[in-house]
Amino acid sequence: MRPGNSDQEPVVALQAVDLKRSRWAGVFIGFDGVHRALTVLRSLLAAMLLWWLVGILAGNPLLLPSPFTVLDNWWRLLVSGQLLEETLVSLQRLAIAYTFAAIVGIPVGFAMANWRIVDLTVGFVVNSIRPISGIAWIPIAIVWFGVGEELPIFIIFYGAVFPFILNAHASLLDIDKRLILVARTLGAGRVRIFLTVVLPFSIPYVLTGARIALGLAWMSIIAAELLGAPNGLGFSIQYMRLVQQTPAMLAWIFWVGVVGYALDALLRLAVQTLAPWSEAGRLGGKAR
Amino acid sequence: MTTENTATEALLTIENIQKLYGEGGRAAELVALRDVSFTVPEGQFCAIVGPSGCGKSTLLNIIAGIDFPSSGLASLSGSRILGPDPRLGVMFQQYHLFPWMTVRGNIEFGPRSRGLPRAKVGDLSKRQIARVGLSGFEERYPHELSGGMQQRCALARMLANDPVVLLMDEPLAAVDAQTRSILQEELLEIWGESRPASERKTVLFVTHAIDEAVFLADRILVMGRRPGRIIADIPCTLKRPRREARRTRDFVELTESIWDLLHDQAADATRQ
Ligand SMILES: Nc1ncnc2c1ncn2[C@@H]1O[C@H](COP(=O)(O)OP(=O)(O)O)[C@@H](O)[C@H]1O
Ligand SMILES: [Mg+2]
Repeated sequence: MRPGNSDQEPVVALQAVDLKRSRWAGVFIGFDGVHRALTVLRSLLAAMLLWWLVGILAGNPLLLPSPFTVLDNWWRLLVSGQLLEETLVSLQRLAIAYTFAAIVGIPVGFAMANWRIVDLTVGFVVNSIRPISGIAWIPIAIVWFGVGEELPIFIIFYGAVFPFILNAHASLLDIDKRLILVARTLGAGRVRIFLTVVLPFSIPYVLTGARIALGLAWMSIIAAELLGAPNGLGFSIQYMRLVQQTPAMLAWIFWVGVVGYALDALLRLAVQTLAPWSEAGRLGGKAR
Repeated sequence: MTTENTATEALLTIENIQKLYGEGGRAAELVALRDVSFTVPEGQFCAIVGPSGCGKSTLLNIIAGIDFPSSGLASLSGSRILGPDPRLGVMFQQYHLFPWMTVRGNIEFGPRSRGLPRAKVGDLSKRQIARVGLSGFEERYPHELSGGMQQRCALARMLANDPVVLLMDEPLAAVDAQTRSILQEELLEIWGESRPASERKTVLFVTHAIDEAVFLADRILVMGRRPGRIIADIPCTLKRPRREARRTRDFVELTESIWDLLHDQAADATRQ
């Protein structure tokens, strides 16, 4: 060793290598290059072509209108402002119910992991209700709430709350106990360990739960609005059925898919921003 | 033995430590440690070697205050160790860096936990980062670092609390051979090999590699298993600095004599 090595002098010089990944790449389109984006575009075009051909063969535009008619309908809904209006109605319901689901679900999951008695009681209830699809509750919810705001919010909440509970629960069960020991040997107390070790450890899990919750919430809201709301995206699909406007109906249906995809992409971005150390935000990353 | 005298000079005192596992429902099944006693004077680099499962980690954890003996006690500067203490720096085989903190965040964790003022914490981490050669990597996350760099970061994190005793549990077992020998030399430098004995840290270093123990330590405690206990206490007086010591006859002979001591124990371990 070099004699008289001072504290400031690196013992071994290291070359700085830029290992940083671009945080934004691949979030919105989910692929890492223009090449892949083109592939997606091509397969989309192919699907539309196939759809168009099948439509011609079927010969009944009321059953299967051509994709171009659907696109045209979508465009007219867009310029009329109706598309945006109904989308905002649904998104607002989603925001309220989803936030509520997070506020309830995460603490419940933590409590289940932390206290055996909570796991045995609340945990049992959660696991026995969870297999019942949110859709099954819609008829009774109509009886309870009638048609309006409460019903869709209730159904979304129901769909979204379980992934929050389960992933918050799993995060604490999975926690690396050695990290807590290390924190203790470094002089951290209980509160500091909870805030700087336990919570950050659970973030990727909770965010993964949040993604699953969002997907389920989005599916639930459409189902709920089909029957139990006076407006919104689900209602719009149903409305177009009643007035026998198949092209507009399909335009709404595909629009639901587009918005759902965009919401998921936003959440993926949030995962990568809030938890850059985790892999959960990448497309194809682990999903629990 | 004049225990009176050594007891007053010793920084670490381990007295009659026993550790039993399986005390719960059934009768005690496993004696992990039996009657372990020794003292470590200030500034000594003391290695512990032994076959796997002989209780090395258990012993170290007890001294670190994160595990408790079934009987007996460990004390630091005459006061009993009852829990984790910033004066006792601990490092495990897996680096256990906090994945959500940058290199700087990891290194500042200890000083911040102890409530040091922000400016002081910044100074401290800067010094430690330079000391272990991680300058330029302050804002990296652990998963962006090589194994050797992660280990340096864990070392700096421990050193940032300026502990009196360094407790290390096979800290180099997970890195490749080349990085390992570099890190061994760095460790000796940080310990204070090139400084006078009075300026050195006190180190308790667990390893299962005998040559590593001989290369690093002033003294080697050899442990046996079933029950876990100390079977030999061997001084290791090879000339320092040890950089060239690996190829000397003394080095090889000492390594082999310890290997002979452990041979039966190790053979026993592989049969389990
Ligand atoms: N929590 C535990 N419960 C039961 N037995 C344990 C526990 N921890 C360690 N042991 C046992 O104690 C013995 C010593 O373990 P350890 O200290 O990890 O050994 P080493 O570090 O020398 O490999 C082993 O036989 C191990 O199986
Ligand atoms: Mg061990």
